[in-house]
Amino acid sequence: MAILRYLPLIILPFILTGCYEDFDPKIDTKPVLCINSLITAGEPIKVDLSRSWVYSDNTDNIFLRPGDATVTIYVNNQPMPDDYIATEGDEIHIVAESEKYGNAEATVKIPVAVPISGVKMQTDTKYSLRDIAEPMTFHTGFDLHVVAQIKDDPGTDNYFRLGYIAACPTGHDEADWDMESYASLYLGSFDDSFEPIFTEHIGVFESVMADGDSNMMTFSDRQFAGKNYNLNMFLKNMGYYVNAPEYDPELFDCTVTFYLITISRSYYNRILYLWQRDSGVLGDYGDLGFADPMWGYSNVSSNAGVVAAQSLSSYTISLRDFLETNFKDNYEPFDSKFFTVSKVAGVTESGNDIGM
Amino acid sequence: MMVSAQNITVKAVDQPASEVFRTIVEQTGKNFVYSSDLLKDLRVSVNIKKKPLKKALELMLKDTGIEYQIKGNNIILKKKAESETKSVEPEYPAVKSTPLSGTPKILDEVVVESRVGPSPTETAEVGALKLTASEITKVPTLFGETDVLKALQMQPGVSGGAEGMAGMHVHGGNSDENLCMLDNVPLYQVNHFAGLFSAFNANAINYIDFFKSSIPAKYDGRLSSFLDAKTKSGSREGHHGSFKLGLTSCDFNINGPIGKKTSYAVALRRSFYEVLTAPLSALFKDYKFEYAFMDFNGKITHRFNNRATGFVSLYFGDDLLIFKENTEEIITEPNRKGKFNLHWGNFLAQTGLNYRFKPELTGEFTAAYTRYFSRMKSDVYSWEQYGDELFDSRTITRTKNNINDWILRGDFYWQPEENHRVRFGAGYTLHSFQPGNTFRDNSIGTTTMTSRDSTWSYLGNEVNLYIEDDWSINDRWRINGGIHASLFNLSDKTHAGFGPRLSANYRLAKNWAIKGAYSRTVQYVHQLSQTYLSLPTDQWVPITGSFKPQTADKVAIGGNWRSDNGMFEASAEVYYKSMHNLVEYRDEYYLHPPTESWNSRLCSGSGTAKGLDLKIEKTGGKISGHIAYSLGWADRKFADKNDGKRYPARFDNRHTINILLNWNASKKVTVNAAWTGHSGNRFTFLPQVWSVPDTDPYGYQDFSPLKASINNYQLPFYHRLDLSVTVRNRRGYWNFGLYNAYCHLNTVAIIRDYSDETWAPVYKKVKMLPIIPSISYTWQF
Repeated sequence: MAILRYLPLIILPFILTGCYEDFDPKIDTKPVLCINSLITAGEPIKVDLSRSWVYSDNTDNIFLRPGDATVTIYVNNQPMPDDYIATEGDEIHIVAESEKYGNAEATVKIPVAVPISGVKMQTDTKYSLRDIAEPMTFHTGFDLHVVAQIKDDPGTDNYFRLGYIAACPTGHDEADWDMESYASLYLGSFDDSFEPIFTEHIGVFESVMADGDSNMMTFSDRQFAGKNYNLNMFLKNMGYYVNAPEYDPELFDCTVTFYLITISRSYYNRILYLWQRDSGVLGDYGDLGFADPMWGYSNVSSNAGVVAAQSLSSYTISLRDFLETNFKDNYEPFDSKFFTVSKVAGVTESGNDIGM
Repeated sequence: MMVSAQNITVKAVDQPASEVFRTIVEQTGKNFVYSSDLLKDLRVSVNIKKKPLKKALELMLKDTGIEYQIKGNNIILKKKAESETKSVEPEYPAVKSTPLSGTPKILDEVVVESRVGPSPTETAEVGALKLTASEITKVPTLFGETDVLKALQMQPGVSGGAEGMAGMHVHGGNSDENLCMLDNVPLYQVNHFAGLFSAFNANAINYIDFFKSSIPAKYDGRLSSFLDAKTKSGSREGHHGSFKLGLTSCDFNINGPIGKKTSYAVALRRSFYEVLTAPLSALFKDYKFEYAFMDFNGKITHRFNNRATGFVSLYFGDDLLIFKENTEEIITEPNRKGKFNLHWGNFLAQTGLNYRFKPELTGEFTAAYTRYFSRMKSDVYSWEQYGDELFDSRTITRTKNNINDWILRGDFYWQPEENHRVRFGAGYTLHSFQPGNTFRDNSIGTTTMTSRDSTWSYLGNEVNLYIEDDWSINDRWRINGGIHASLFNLSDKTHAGFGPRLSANYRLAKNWAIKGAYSRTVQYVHQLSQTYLSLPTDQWVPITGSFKPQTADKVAIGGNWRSDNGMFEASAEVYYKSMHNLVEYRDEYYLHPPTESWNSRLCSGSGTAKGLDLKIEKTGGKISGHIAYSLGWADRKFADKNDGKRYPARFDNRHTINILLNWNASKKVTVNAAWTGHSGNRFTFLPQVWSVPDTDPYGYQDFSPLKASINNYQLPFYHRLDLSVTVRNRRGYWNFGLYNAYCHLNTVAIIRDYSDETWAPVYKKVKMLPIIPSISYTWQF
């Protein structure tokens, strides 16, 4: 959050007095082929082929699938076998051809996953509420601070994205509230401001003009190329809720799994573009004519689409000991004044989206 | 001692009176005030040494039908009544004056014409311009704020920036290619409030020199133009000043003597934009804005003796923007209190000594410090309370962005003969660049993490030498030639720059001149700006790494005409400018995180600009003004922009017409009108979009624009009429203004949007700034 994000508001006396007018620019332009693919090591390769269109065209009549187009995939300069599973280090070359829309091609190399190691965990209990009249009705709120080490490969430009997911042995949702035994863990919010590497894309301009918060957990190894780096992951306002008719220690068996996703430069660029468009201000200012308009990042020869690749490594943290100890050590009575059911609506699994 | 009794030395043989007056200005610091047609054809020969000013004026004006009157710091010239004209034998033998033709008659006293300069038909320079403070005030502006830069935008070859803003693009150049100076010292931030207002307070300005085609050897460091605003010195005759109250600002200025040898001049301007934004703050009760700008000009001039005059001057201008938020009452989100401060501006201090070594040799020695600064601080505290438990976090971010210059310079003026004027000098500048210094402090509960980045800091050394000879070879030929040499050192790298300058005037006839000019300019620092606005986030950075100094070669050929009665002037100029090593952000530069050196986000390229500037001007009478027309082309070519293909510059405005009319309707009422029209600015229009997989291509924002050629689209023709009326009374004057008088909303951009009726995707023109009235009152004392 920063002040000049509101500059348009400050000069509102002028902007308000302006207006918008529908407009047909009557510009002659030709659609091109669009290739999109997110290739994950260990999985088959999927390619999505479409075409670009003029924004103001009557979209009801648009068929974005170019019917006459063919797609050929090469792996390490060889045509890809039908049952091929992508492997780290593969160079994937995708070629699409169409008489109507021309040709397009893109190349991506599947990055090598970088393992997470040396994980250290610290929890900070914010509150614990236990209904001592019941055998196992308990709620606790806490922050989870995890430090994990990334060992960066020298000589390789690496780009990373972080993901996390929570899991408990049972769970519930609103429709299944009457379940007899359930435990749920919710992840609260990931405080990316606690890890400076998450703000590497925020410069002076962005910190002032745009949302100074990172809003993304994507980063590069520019600042620790070839070295070890301790990554701070801070999940604040996590919550755990359990309710069972009898004591069952298995219900404490909850985990948080962190994914370190090594991504291709094209994937990294795509995310940077999206951040600028959605959280930065270049998109808004470009629209208003106060800066150059932004076009979508593409590594496809037709400038439409993104061919990206990723490899995943993960590390799972068990919260069982922490939760069980917390349960046993706390006898503070349940107080409905500040603790309502809606506050603990959890999910069986939760986390951030690790897709593109 | 009466100032008018000061001794002067003047030597001239059949020279235009205006040029001789200029030497008197340089020796006395006084201004001449006269009607523009008064000195028409008046040539004088005079040889006086250390004579009182009054005596010299009497000698020069004898038998010319012109009388003078010294009022304060002004020498007012006007025609004598016929009965007063009589012939007297000259007191000094070497004086010869040419009487005026026609019957002399009494003219109204000119309001202010406080400069002396020869007619463009007599000078060698092409595209040079002097604008007095009174001429600047004749240009109607937004909110009635007199604006030096917007006055220049009415000149041919000069384009404005974003709508309503004070950006300046000269002959297809970028806005950072103009060197704006206060008394020859660079001022880096020349705008207030994103460029809506310029940092020059017109009340503190005496006149400005502006060069866009042939550049005097004295100036270098920018590619496109040089603007030197000369500040006023105080009157030695009495205290004078004014106070102006306008819609958005007020300003106060006063000047006068301090003792017999010293004078002062002070001008202070302060906005009260808070008044305009107050209703907005009331609308958004959780958010509060405060914005203010101010600038201060102060100058003390001391005349030590007839040979030496010293001065100390100070300029400070800043903008302060404060934003506060308090979302404590919003129950769906964490409580949040934030305060954001932005403070940016300039500080400039200089002291100078003008010393006359000999009648034909004078020198000016200057020591100056100029600083541009920008500081931003945000402090956000957010918290949630559950019972007795408090969960809170606080983030403090501070960013600084500075450039500091320490300048030492000596400039000399040597006139060995009447027809030879030599200017030469040397200077040293120590630059300190700190374009980025950030501090970030995150604390959650009792845990704090601090990060800093102060790696961007550079010291640069710059040395300049120049010499220039202005030589009137004979009645027909006049040549101005020179060279500006410079060295720029940063870290272990030193760049050398040589800027030869040559301009020539050939007078076809008495009122006709054709001119030609060549100049090469070198630029070592440039501004990084991610928007077209003038923002505190803009950074001045030096040429580093593999980048080379930017250079521009410019050739101009032109002609000037002046009517017999001096009421009309016309000029034409054809130019071609070739720019090299230009630096700009590369395409998709935002994909290179700022943790990389800024150079990784930049690219180097070239550009050309060519065109024709025409101007017809009526310089006097009840109705004066000018019509200016420009025909221009400007393009750029960068290896890392637009796939290496050449593309039109944003201000590639093919046709530009500026009409300025000033009507002295009566002694009390003046009407000013300014109409501007130009081919629309270039705009990068992205007509196509593409979608990512598994998303609805028709959904909201579920697409990405397809790359297209840069500046591929020309916005509709831009036109606007501004009016102002000045009504004088005994104490001062009212000014009523209308910006965009016929309320033509000009298109500034084209955006993708949805139809208000069908919700179908459509393009929309963004139109801004309707008719905006203004009113101000100036009280003079």
